[in-house]
Amino acid sequence: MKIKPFYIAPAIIFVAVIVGLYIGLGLNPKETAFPLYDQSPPEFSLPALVEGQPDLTTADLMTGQVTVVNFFASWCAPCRVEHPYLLQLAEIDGLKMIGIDYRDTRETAIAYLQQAGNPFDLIGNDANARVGIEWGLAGVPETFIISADGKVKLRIQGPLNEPIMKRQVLPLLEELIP
Amino acid sequence: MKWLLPVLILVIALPVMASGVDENVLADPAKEAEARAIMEDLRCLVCQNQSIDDSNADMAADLRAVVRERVLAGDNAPQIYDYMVARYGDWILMRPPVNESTWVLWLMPAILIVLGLLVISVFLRRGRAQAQTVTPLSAQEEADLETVIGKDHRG
Repeated sequence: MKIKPFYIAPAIIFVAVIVGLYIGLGLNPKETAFPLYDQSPPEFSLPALVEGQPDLTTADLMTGQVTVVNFFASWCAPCRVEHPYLLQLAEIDGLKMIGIDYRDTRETAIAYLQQAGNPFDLIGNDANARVGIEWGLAGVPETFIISADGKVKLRIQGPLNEPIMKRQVLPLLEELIP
Repeated sequence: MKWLLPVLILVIALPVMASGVDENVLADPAKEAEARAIMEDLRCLVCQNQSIDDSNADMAADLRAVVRERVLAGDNAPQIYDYMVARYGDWILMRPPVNESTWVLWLMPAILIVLGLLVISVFLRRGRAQAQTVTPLSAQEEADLETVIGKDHRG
């Protein structure tokens, strides 16, 4: 007997729905869109965390050096969890480390970095989170990697951890830093 | 029992206050109303399915401040939506826009109705085709039938 396509259609639709749902299960609904990908970082200017030092501006992220931009806060627990990985990144030659202190006060942030160790070359103070919004930030910590030609190549939402370092951050840095 | 009514009114009125509270609202009530309407259409990213107007999250308060600033600067609603989408993607809009990644979602009800109508029409046509294939009895069959049930019983 010849099977009519009409009869197997429900089975095909069923399988398609199951495959679609299975793919959906693997997606993270908390991960938001990343319109900055392969774009220049947004224009901004922030006062330095330590008073008296020059402002942090977009130009500081586009100096021809591969740059890590990390949004952190002294009140943010996951930031403490990822801190050892930032210190590890700070050891890499030819990598510029920029910190942006998010929704935080100067005194607590400075005390935090004194206690945990400071991985950053430059630190800006985004007290009212306006620069965070420019970057499409959904919370802290978030980490961005900018290539030597000034394009945002990677964004990690949430704390850095071993698998993220091994699979995403370090391979990209190896590719970007000759 | 004089105290009962005011207390009841307060308790019943609690949900009225269930939205983000800001210190710096716009002085012009018309502008503030416009800003609030826009906030209702923007999603609070850390609360998943609340608008920034509903939410008390810090992030929602930050976004509300931006909306107020833009309204004050004379931006209209579509300009503010564009500003937000440029930074956060379409997900920040409570109503997903129709575009290349969502047209399937928006068109699905219409597609399903058309498919359903197709299935129904196929079944109806098949039923009619079967009805037409009934052929009258042959002379031999008529004779056999008569011997079995007798002529009187035929309707």
